[in-house]
Amino acid sequence: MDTNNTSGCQISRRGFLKIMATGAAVVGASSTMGPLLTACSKAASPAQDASGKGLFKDSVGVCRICNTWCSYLAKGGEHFELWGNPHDPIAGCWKDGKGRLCVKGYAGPEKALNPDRIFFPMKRTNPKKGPDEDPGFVKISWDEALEIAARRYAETVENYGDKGVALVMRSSDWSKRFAAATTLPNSVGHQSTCFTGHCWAWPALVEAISDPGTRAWTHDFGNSTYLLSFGFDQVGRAQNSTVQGVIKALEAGAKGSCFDPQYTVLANKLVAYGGHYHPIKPGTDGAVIWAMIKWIVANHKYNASFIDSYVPAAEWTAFLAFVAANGFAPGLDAGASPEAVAAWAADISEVPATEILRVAREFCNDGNMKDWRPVVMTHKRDGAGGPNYTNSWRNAYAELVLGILMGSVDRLGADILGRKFKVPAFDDVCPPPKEGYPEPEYKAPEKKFGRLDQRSKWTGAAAGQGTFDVFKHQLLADDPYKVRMLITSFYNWPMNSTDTAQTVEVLQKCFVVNHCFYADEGAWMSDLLLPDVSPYEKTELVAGDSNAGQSLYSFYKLQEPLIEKLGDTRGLPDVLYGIAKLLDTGAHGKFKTWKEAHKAYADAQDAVWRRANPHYLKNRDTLTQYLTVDGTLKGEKWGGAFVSNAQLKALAATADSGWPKKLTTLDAVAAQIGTKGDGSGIYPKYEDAKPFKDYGKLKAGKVHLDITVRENGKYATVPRPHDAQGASMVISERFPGYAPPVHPGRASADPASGRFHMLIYREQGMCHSESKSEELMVELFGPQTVEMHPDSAAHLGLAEGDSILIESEANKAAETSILHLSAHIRPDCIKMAHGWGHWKFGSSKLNPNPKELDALVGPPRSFGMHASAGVGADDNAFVHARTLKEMIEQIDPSATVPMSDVILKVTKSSRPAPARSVLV
Amino acid sequence: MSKGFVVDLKRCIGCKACVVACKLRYELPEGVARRAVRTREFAETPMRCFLSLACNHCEHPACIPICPQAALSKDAEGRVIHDPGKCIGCRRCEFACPYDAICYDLETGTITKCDACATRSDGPRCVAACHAKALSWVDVDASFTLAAAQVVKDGKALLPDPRQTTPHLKVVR
Repeated sequence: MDTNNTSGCQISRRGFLKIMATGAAVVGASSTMGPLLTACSKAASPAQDASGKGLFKDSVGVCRICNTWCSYLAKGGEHFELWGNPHDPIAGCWKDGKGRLCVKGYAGPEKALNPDRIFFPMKRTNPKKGPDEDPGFVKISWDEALEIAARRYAETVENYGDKGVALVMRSSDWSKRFAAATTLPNSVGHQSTCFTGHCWAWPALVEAISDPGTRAWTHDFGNSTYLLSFGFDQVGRAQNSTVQGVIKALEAGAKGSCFDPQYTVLANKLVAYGGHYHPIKPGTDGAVIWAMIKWIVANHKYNASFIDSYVPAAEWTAFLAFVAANGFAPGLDAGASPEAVAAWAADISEVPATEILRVAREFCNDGNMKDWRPVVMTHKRDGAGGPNYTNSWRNAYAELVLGILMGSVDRLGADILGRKFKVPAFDDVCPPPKEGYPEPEYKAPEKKFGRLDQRSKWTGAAAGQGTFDVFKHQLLADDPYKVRMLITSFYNWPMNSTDTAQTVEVLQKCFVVNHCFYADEGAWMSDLLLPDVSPYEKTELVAGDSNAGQSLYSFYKLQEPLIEKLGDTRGLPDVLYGIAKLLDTGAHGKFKTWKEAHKAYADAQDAVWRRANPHYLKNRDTLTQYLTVDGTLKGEKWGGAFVSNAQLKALAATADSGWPKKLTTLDAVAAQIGTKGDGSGIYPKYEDAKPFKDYGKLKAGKVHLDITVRENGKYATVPRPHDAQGASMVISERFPGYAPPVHPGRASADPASGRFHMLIYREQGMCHSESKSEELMVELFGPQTVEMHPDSAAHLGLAEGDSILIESEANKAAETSILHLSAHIRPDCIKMAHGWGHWKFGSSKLNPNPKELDALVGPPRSFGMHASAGVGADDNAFVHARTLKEMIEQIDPSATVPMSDVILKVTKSSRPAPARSVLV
Repeated sequence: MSKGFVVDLKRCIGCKACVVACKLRYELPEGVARRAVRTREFAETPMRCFLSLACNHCEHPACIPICPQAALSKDAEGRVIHDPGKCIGCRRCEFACPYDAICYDLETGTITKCDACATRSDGPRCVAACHAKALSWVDVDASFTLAAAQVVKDGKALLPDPRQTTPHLKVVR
């Protein structure tokens, strides 16, 4: 244990817990560091003030490690503990008066005190940029940091127009308004790495979901009678709602089957309770699903009552005819028997036909639908039910059809649609100026520049965000225009995008303003670091919706500060507002204002497009007029709540909202359910909530099986060559039933010659790659190894513990790791945990923190993610980033990142792979 | 009445929430733990299990008689309690325990072990933390047989012979 520090306060990395436990430290907020100085002096001799408040406070809050957002209760002072909130529908799922979190949630508060956090704004001093170039970051003030960002923004607009700047961040009210006000066409997010397959399928088939690309469904596994998984393993990720739901269902007698190339934790649980595991060949799930559909439909084992009520009669008739007449594959013509189709699927998937048919029979309870609530386990974060591969939309579609046949849409024990208070839209309660947003350059009638990734040329949902893949390719090619500045937030881009080497190139090419949390790879490659606030330091009100794992009723969760703010950090709204304010009024570079910079650009580009778009400079007097709350400039307040006071006020004023008239402000809500109120942290609680009603969100004749029905300008859901084959292609085509091998990485594995399919997983204690910054989690879940079947290893002359070289055939990336042998994986696959391979930086010092802060978070350290630097293989590096040409040609509406298409070559390495010890 | 841990192998997902909650509650440094989850793989279904184990507060603990300082003792509820004030860190108990449930803490120079959260009013922290409800701390009854403390897979015992110390451990499977 490292107790060496230079602060004068003898407190080690884990020492903060001891400060907290003795109740010695009193920490005040702030950038002045005065209160922290107090904390340090007390911490040096903790026994002196045993009556003082602890570092962590009594509070209610919302864990934000993953998207489940469980509510927690914290008991500060001596022996700090974090509990699940028993009133929370997820954390209190067992309804025994106690709440529980997952392993990540219990350790979550450590993130706020992680010594690898960036606590102060910094700028790069080394103009050279690269993994081996020390950025030479130096601490600066927020004023200087925002001024640099604003000046660079104005210069970029001068040279490249609005298009020259792009946002790389999760979409939010703030980012959307900033982009609209500045007319930025390029805003890209990460969702194509996760869940877009189902985000395409659900809005296409279920009309209750109004917007394409919406994550509006979630699950209620606890009341299920049969759990069917194709590559789903949220149990293996310890997701709270899933673990509690699955165990609850299994204890109540549910059965299940799991199709997965790796023997997952979910498979383990299903088998332990009498279910089945099938080691399926990667990427062939669709064939098994369609074979099941064929058998169920041919034998009339579906939920006729649900179909009669919710599926349009004509569509059902057409679907029956389609299934009856279709063998799904060449050689299986009209009239092919279900058994013949199962044999075809068995040949593709390597799951015996008898097993496929047995699961089909089990899943539909042999047609007895009374009290039968089966579910296909899908999740918004699992792509097409598990792995993501080219055209895995087919899998998502087939899974949803299987669910519809069982009536498993918006029903207890199945996939359910979100319930939440009808909060007025942000634009409704905080409207932009009457003149509306500025006319963006890219909408100029004669010159449609559009998005850099040319998203409008692809099929599918989630059109607003695009994908990292195409964006990166187009940026590097300057096609069709140049982007030279990125404003990024939250993402550690090199480690959460495809093709790490390509991402590095992009970051080298641009000026990068990074609203960051850790001294990670993304920060290393940036020009300006603007430190983010920890969620544990905030006061917020969070709506319980489909983003929250389970949404049987509408509710709100309160976040009170668990810890006072450390360092000098700001939330994203304040950052965006701060830049906009300076662009309006500051004197930067050549131009005094943002408007002036735009005018200069417009003049320069006059011949090209200004005459074509005379509205370009209209409504551009100020930027901040668009970035308002209640019509006034309140940038500081933006970070205050997920739901603003204006929205609460409007909610309370809505007659049938069910929201109390008196709860019109965050303070009022906090006074009622916070630690100064009843401490429940949740409104309403179980006993006060509106009961869930099966199918309550569905309307008659509003669930579809034909994906072409909703196809129109808004729902570009039909995968087809552009305007070439008409809207009926999919429903009438000879459905191949599995993802066709259209991608080079889709080549078959050959374990005898060392070529394997790549599988990834996440350890229960880890969420994103940033989890690898947590010493405790790395201690418990390392070392990072790559798992291979013993037979395959024997062929290659490899043994347990060998150092191996892994090379991607898709993009030539190479990584080293340590081999672990296990019979619980197919011989043609290898698997690795997601998010390892953090860079081991050189000797760059990152020690701008006052000693007082170091006393709380640990001794000064150099730049990097120290808990895991240099350990394991970076799985992202292996994944091919799809090009625009591929995206158009492959007609993949879900636009998923094809991580499961990757073929890896494994050989023995002469270079030892670094590892950490693990506590077992 | 003595109490003991019940470990449900069917429910346990191996997430180590029990370990994390314990380590944070008692501020245990890197490499030191009072509970551990061990993954065991075998050929027969379900092919893998997760064993979450701490001190089993045995009927006949091997650690107590071997301690030269009498730093270990049983309390009224049958818990094996460690007195760090008496402990000289000789680690004899650590090597005597067949369950590897005792850990040496280099920082304090003493051993550390599970006391089933004797000072915590709400029972063991690990039990309260488990969201799969795979752990419980209950009165030892007739179901706590030697057989209930034994796990055999592929014809091999995954735990030491319970006849050595009569652990207050019940494994549900």
